[in-house]
This record gives sequence, structure tokens and C-alpha cells, in this order.
Amino acid sequence: VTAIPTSSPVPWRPADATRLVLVDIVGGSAVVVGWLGTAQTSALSRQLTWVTVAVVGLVIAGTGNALWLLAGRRNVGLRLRAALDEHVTGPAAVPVPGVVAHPAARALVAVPRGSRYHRPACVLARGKEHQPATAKRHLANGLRPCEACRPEVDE
Amino acid sequence: VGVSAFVLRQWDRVASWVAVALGALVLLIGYIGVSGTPYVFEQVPYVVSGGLGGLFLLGLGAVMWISADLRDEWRKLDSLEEALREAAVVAPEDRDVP
Repeated sequence: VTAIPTSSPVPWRPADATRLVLVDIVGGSAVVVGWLGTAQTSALSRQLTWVTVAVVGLVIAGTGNALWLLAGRRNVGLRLRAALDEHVTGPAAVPVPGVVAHPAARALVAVPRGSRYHRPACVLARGKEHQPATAKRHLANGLRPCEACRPEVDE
Repeated sequence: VGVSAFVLRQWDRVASWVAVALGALVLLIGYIGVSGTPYVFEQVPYVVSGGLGGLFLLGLGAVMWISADLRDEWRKLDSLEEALREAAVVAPEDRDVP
């Protein structure tokens, strides 16, 4: 139930990008104006006013940038959660009858007719028949590591 | 060709490094300016331009870098959704297992 279409190449709406650019222009301009203001007077009390303008500009830009990152993080999380919620299964993977993993084999499994290999606890392998083998063997069979459980990464 | 293709594909990361380098340079210029005068009223403009301006550019660079990471993560989800769809096609009956 992500707010951004999955066809979008980035996790933001065009309006988010417009807002970010505007906020950074306003914030950066305030810093420049503050700098010019301080440079045109030698009275410290007046300079402090311009320093305040620059600091406010920095805060505006920082807030806008933080909101931009939070929106992106949120949209990535929503899409991931929606995808996993749709396909989560229950019990652990069950071995294919008659197929016994070699004791030296690392516990990585492949679902029959699938194109990826998984960790046994992966949501994409749980509850399904699987063929255990080493990563090397799976790769030799033309399979690629699952993007969800990332079995190629050591824990 | 390789460099231009990389810049086109990773323009946000390249821009991020440019912003960070500029920010560091502006901070250095601000430091040199502040240390070059004993008068506070002459130091304040350097603090604003060099200090706050440098922080602004460093922040901008960091945001662009993290944005590039989020964009990559978003694209990675395409592969993940494809894997999920494939898993559902391979064993659709298993989805009903509690």
C-alpha cells in the first residue's frame, strides 16, 4: 500500500523533489543573504541579526532535507512490507523426500523450478519443498541468490 | 565513454562528492579568513559564509548520497517483487499454510 507507484524509478513524488529544491534554494539564499548582511556592517549587534537570518536558512534547509530522506525511507519500507505481507508463509521449509543434504553442505535451499536459492528460514522458502545444497552447487545449477534473504552474505 | 556513462548513471553520487568537496573547501576558506584578522566584526562574515555555508554544502552532499542509496534500494525491490511473484507461482497452495 505504498503511496508511490512501483513503476516510479525513485521513492519520491515529483512534488517531493520540487519541495526539496525550493527549500534548499530558500535555505541557501538565506545563508548568502546573511553573509552579505554581516559583510556590510561593522556593528556587532547588526551583524547578529544577519547571523540569525543565516542560521534560520540553515535550519530550513536541514529540515527540508530531513523530511525528504524520511519520505524516501518510509516509501521504501511501505513497499517492502506490502510485498512481504502478500506472500508470507508459515512453517519452516520441508525437505524433498529422498533428498538428503550432504553433512558438509551449507544449509541453503532451492525451491523446485525456482530460479533462486535461499536460506532455509527465508519467507520465500518456508513451507515449500526444497533441495538443500551448497551455494556453489546452486550457482552451478544456474540459480542466483535470493534478494530477500541474501544467502551470499555471511552472517 | 566509461566515465561519462558512470557520471550519467550515478549523477547524484558524483554531485554529492562535488558538494562535499566544495563544503570542505568553503570551511577551509572560512577558517583562514577568521584566523587572518583579530577583529570580531571582520571574523563574523567568514563564520557565516565559511562556517554556515560549508555546513550547508556538506549537508547537501550527505542528503544526495543517502538519496542515491534509497534510489538503489527502491530499484532492488523490483527484483524482490519478481522473486516473490515467482515463488507464488511455483507453489501457490503453500500460501495458505498458517
